[in-house]
Amino acid sequence: MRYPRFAYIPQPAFVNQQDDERVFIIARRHFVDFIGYAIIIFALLLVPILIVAIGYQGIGQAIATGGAIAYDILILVSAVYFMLLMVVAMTSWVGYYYNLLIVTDERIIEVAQKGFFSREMYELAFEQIEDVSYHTKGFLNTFFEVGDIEIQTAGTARNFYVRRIPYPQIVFRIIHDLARQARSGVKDNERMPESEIIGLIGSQPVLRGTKTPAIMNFGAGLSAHRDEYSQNLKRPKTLREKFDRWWWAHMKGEQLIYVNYEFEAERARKLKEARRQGQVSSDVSKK
Amino acid sequence: MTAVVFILFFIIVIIYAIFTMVLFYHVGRYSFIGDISKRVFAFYVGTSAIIIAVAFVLLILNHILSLNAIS
Repeated sequence: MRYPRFAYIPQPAFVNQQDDERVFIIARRHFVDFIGYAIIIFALLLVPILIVAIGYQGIGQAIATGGAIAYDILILVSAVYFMLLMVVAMTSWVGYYYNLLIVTDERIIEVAQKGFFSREMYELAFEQIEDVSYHTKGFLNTFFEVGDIEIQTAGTARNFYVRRIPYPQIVFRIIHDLARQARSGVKDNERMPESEIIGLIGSQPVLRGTKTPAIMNFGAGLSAHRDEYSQNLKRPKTLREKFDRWWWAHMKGEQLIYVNYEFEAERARKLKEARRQGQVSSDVSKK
Repeated sequence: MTAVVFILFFIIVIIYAIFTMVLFYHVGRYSFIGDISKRVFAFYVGTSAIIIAVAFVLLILNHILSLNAIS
């Protein structure tokens, strides 16, 4: 029997996540928010081609008169232009991609990234929520199901206004349900969205009754998994194993560890046995 | 003059490398499991390496060709 080379190790979804804090929503801004930047960057990419196409003869003559130095300057200017373009592209991408809305069973977290050197994080407990609403305006937003979420708070807490979130109606419904449960005194580990869609990870809705992604932390809690795996961890030894781990962790964006095959087989056998005896239900109904 | 051009080129590349390190810090610190940050960073590094390598090769070629023209 062939066993997988790796196993997933559960990682906190965000920096100060509690051990048993379940995550319902991790949403970034929709790509619609980046389209304007993407068009500008693409247009700037075409500028040198246009310059060369229009002023071909003039540039050729200038280079012929200037000689080697003119070539050097042309190469340097072109390289600097494309490097600056990369800098502009990456700066605007960081400003777009690192804005996040995280909704857990305890709180709502908004991460606002502006450029490279400004990152703000706001947190709001469900008990403080007074009113939630969403707005979808414009052709692109309606077509791609993108909208803004507005959360009004009680007292002096800061209001939340999160722009260009995918599926705003799902986000609205989940926050609305959780806030209502919090107000009526339901404990945080018993709160659950009431609709058929219980989460939104990236732009992927999570349906009730289906297997939840590991990042939602619906299992036995982060530290329990970590303890279990850390006792049975097998370190990569060969160069191939080390490269594999680096590749999967950095290129595929997945946190993986090497596993002890015997331990994994034993664990799978026990789980199967428990399922057969009806001791383990589906992931969603565990909590 | 060629030396000045090469020094200028290396200064530009060093400034660019500092920017890349800032970007690497952000990607390493703020990326999530399963997001595309690291793939975008890999694409950025690859494209940058091509731009720098092409510019460097062209500068060297230009230098060699101008030396041949003089001799």
